[in-house]
Amino acid sequence: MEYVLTTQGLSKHYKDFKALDNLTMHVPKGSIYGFVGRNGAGKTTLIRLICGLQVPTSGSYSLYGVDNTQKELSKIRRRMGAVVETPSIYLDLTAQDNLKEQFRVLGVPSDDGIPELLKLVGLEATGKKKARNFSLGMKQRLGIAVALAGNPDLLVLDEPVNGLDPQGIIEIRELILKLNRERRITVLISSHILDELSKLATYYGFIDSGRIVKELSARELETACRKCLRIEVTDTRILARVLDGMGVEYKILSDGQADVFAHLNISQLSRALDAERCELLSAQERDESLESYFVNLVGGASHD
Amino acid sequence: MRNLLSANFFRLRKSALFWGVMVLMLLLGAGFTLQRVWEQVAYAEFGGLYYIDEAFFNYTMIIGIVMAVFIPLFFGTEHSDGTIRNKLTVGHSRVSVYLAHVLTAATVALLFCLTYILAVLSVGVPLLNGGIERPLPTFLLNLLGSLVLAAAYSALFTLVTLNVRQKAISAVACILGTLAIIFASFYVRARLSEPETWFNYGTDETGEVAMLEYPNDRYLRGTERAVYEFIYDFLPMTQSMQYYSSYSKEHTPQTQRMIAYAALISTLSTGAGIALFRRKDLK
Repeated sequence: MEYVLTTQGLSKHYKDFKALDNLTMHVPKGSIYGFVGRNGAGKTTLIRLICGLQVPTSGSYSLYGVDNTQKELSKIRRRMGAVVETPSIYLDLTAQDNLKEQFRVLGVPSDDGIPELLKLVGLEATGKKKARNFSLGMKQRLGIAVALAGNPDLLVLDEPVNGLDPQGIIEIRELILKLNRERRITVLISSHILDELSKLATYYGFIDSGRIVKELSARELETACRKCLRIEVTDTRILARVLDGMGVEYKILSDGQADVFAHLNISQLSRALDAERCELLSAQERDESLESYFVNLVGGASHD
Repeated sequence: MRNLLSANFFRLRKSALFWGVMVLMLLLGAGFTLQRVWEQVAYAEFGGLYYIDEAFFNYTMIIGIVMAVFIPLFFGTEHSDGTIRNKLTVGHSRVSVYLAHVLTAATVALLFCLTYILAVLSVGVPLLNGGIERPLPTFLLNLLGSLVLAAAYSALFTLVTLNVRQKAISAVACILGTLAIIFASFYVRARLSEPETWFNYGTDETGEVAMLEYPNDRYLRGTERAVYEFIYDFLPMTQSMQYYSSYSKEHTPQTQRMIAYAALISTLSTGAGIALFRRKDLK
């Protein structure tokens, strides 16, 4: 798999506080990478490091295969855009002037691309309105437009839907999906709003106490979170035989436990097991959401 | 860095604050000169010549305060609105970002000074009867020195603004710092202006009451005087005072030395500013 961003044992310490602790992660090309973690888990710190706003205490990261210690990284950064925490926009300028300013920062020779960019983020009708008079959602979209000014291949968004109303959240979600699908932009998006993230992400990285606890694709997560019946029996070998006979999908977890991915008639299963001298001890319906998956993963436990 | 300068000047063109200060400098230049014109008219019966010089260098006293307000307000938004991130994220180095700000600030200071000068000349040349009093080479050297000084102010306030995250704090620091230097400058000037001796009534050897000359304890001598004289030539605000009063024949500023000091202030503050800014954790 090709990665646009990888980190190797990345750490960032503020005096005695370890904001990032030996963090290793991989962002696949073309993905929407959902970076999940509680407040203070280290999401924003990681984003600040990869954006060059702060320097790692130890470890390294590479963007498009170029290490952060290499001089060429400054050229590679041209391929990324970011909105870190709050949208970085001049409040006393209009949306168009904010983009003109960023075009100059990037050395884009012509302003011709600005109307298209404004249209993409739905701000084409803002005219002479100053950014300070924009709604939070509009400011967020303008921040994304500024981040897109250099036609980046990687877009880094830190908590982009924080504080937005439902309509604003939908607009940002649709914009991110559009950028990923139509422009093939890889998006690294951090959030603690898991429900929202689950509608976007194709890949997940779970961070806790400055470390990546788990990285997996959306498909793997879907499998892990699939609705199932967790069955406890005295012998899962017999259970497997019975379930095979019923033609249902299942996964053996241990000698006594299995997950069944089908709607079963419990009485019928119990009778079938009984006939094979296997006891049905318990059956529990499980419906794990991203939220419960996350809680199970990091839930209060230390990962040291 | 060319891109960063182009971006800074674009924003400058759009800044109401910038144009407001330009208008203020125009009005101040015209106002101070018109005051001299008014004196020329009011005291016409006594004759005498009224020179452009007397209003010309007033901007050296104003520019420090103006830049102490302008730089934190204009560049402070880079931190407060987070826009400095847009420059670093796309690969501009911190040194380039810092230098672009210093150069923009120095250009702004020069534009403010030149606007003031333009106003003085526009009013003074046709209306004042004396023209320029000083020999032209001296006048031009003072002009050059005052512009180098304006650049030094810019470098100092850029150092504070880019290294203090909160715009309000950097603004307060620049303004209070300037005020502190103003008070220090007045004190230094007052100490240097102390007469070596003073006169008072006393009894002379014959027992008669007479006006006698006494040594002044506050008069600075030796190393202490040398230190105060160095400060007087070195501090930006004392330099401003010297350019401001340089039309008077009693004050002959050490212009070349002051130019060297102002250039040194610019270099040292830019060097220190870059060193701090490179290590700074930005949010």
